Amino acid sequence: MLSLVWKDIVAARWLLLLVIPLGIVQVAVMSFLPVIYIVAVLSFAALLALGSIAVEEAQRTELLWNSLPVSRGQLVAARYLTALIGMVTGLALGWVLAQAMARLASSGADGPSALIGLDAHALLFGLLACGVAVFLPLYFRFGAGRALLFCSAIAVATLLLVSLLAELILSAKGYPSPISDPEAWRAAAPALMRRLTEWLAPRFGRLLALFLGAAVIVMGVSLLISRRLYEARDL
Amino acid sequence: MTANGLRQDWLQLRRDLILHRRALLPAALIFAAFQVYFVIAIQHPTLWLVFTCVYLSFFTVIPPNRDDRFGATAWSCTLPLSRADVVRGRYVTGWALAAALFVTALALATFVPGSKIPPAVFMDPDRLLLAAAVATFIIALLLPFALRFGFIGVMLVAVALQIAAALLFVVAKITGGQNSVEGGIAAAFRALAAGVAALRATLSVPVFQLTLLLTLVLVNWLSYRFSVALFRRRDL
Amino acid sequence: MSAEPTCVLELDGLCKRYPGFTLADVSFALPRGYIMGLIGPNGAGKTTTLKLILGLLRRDGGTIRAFGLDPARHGAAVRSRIGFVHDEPHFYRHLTVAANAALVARFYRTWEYETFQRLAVAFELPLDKRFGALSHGNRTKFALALALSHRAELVVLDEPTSGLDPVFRRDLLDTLTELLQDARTSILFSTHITSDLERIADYITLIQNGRIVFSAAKDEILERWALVKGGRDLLARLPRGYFRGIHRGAHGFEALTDDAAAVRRELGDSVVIEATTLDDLVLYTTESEADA
Repeated sequence: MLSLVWKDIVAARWLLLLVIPLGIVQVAVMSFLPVIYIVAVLSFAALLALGSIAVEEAQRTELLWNSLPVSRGQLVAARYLTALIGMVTGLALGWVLAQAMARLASSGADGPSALIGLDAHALLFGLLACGVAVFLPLYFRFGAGRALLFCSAIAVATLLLVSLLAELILSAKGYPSPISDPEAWRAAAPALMRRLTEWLAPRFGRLLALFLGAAVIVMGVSLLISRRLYEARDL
Repeated sequence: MTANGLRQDWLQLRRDLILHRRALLPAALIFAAFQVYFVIAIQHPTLWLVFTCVYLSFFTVIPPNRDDRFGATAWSCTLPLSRADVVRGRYVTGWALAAALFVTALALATFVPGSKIPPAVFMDPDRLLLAAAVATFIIALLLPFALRFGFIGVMLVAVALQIAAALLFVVAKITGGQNSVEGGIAAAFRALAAGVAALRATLSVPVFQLTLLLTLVLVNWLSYRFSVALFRRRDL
Repeated sequence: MSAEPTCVLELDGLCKRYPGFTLADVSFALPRGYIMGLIGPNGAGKTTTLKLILGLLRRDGGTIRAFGLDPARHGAAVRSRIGFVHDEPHFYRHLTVAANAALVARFYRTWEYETFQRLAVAFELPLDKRFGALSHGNRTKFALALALSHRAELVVLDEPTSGLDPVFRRDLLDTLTELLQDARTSILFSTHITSDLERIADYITLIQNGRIVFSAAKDEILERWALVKGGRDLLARLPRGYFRGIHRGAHGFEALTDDAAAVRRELGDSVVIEATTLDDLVLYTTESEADA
């Protein structure tokens, strides 16, 4: 299986040689803008995790690897391991860079933000793991192109669902809706954020650990599903 | 632009729509679903316009990227077309897609219940020019690199844009003496808006709009020439 | 300890269904140490059969035993003993030939680096050239060198000689024949260039429209099947289906029979019976389907 991970790295090495320096610059510069930094580091880590898939698709080498003495289960497991290594590398690099840039910043007003701390990166890892857990089974079943399309559809559907749920919860708690009553929402939002922060702060560590545990379980389930789907697929 | 050139462009557009409909239709449906949420959630028409134009500009690279994946780029160049014709066809297809998606977005903004984007927005030539400017800027940057380098080119442009924007903000922070980078962002946009408003006042509105339109056409043409130069150097 | 089966490959009632095409009841066996040629017109099901053997497709019915194992359940073990050349070899275009070989070599415990080097020299492969810069013929040669470098017991070749120059084709056939000297290696060779099979094959299997027309020893096939030539009036007197595939000319006919001895007995001197080639078999049996 390690040979399969190695071949992903070797096959994608030109892509990595391009992505890593650019990603480092991108992440380093954007660590001054914590909210945008999150997007930058997520996309950097996702590229490292799944970039080799783009190379495989472009070169159409899937048939080659399936003709070698490796089982489909091993191919699936190796893909997950590659993704895991990419995610951890990307996020770890991002964290190191963000801390370094924050300490180098001349003004204290833009010092290290909680959004670029270790906890935040752990949370990002969990989110990325969930995204990978959704993408990879679709990739093994339908190929990369259609998997991306389905993932986009799932993302939009999730956005719609989450906003609907948020509306319902806020309405149940007696808060104004940010969509139907934005003025009242703007007035009430600071108080709500304060209450949320006060509730979350003492529990954050435990919740984060729970979330990460759930993300790992989701990845495991995703691996099993991917394996079943890939073994049933004609090439 | 000769009649034969127009005919070739039409044939290429038709070919692209037929060949790539299985990718474009689902992507367009997802775009439409997102727009339904967006027009209800977002109150700021200009923000909606800019974000929508950024989103739909990336659709223009779907046909060339798929052609690269399936090896159809080389086949296109074996047809009785010059490389310049092939590139022009890509731009025509790209802009046709962008226009179709823009019209779809406008229709959704008008007819979706609860939409916060007032229909009067679409009657405003300034906003339409802003939409054209955003789309032109992104398409003019994306297409040359997509045609030459494929998906890697698209990635390079996206990353370069992010880095350039972030560097600009950092420079604004340092030179503008802003206490926060967010303040620097706002200052940069304010300066840009003030510059455009001053130009508009100097030139008078119709002349300004015409000048802007001609500038966008020029940018597109320069991007097209650049794409042709890059594509001619590509081994297929 | 159980003995190795005498047949490296056994297909029995193999079936695969696609919309518009069905591979049905495909059965043949390849004994150890022999070469089998797989022939048939385009779209007959040759590549589908080979992919089923490799475990790249799931079968809808029947059984496959390769080295006594089921490729669907023991895919990795089966493929470790098979060297496969696809009709269109896909490797990493941006990596050199040597780098691609190094990636593949890691997966074979029986990989022989010296053998690969020797084959690369014999095939005149530029090891430091990017795979994407190779011609179609050189890409096939590279895939062949890989397939022959890990002491495979079964070498499966899907149209390996298309795109190769006649000189290299001759050398390749000699190389394949040499492989059989150890009586351990078997070869399954799918091709349109039937003259190659007439030189080296021991067994021939003809597939058409997803069905086996025949699978037997080459000499037996060439003895049993023959071309028959005669007058049109004779053709009118014979029952429909007497021949397999008929060419009607202005004054006579040419047809294929699968029982030359019977035709000789029944029609005697009223027809001319000639030896057939594998090309004729494919051609006339295809037209027989069209006639039906």
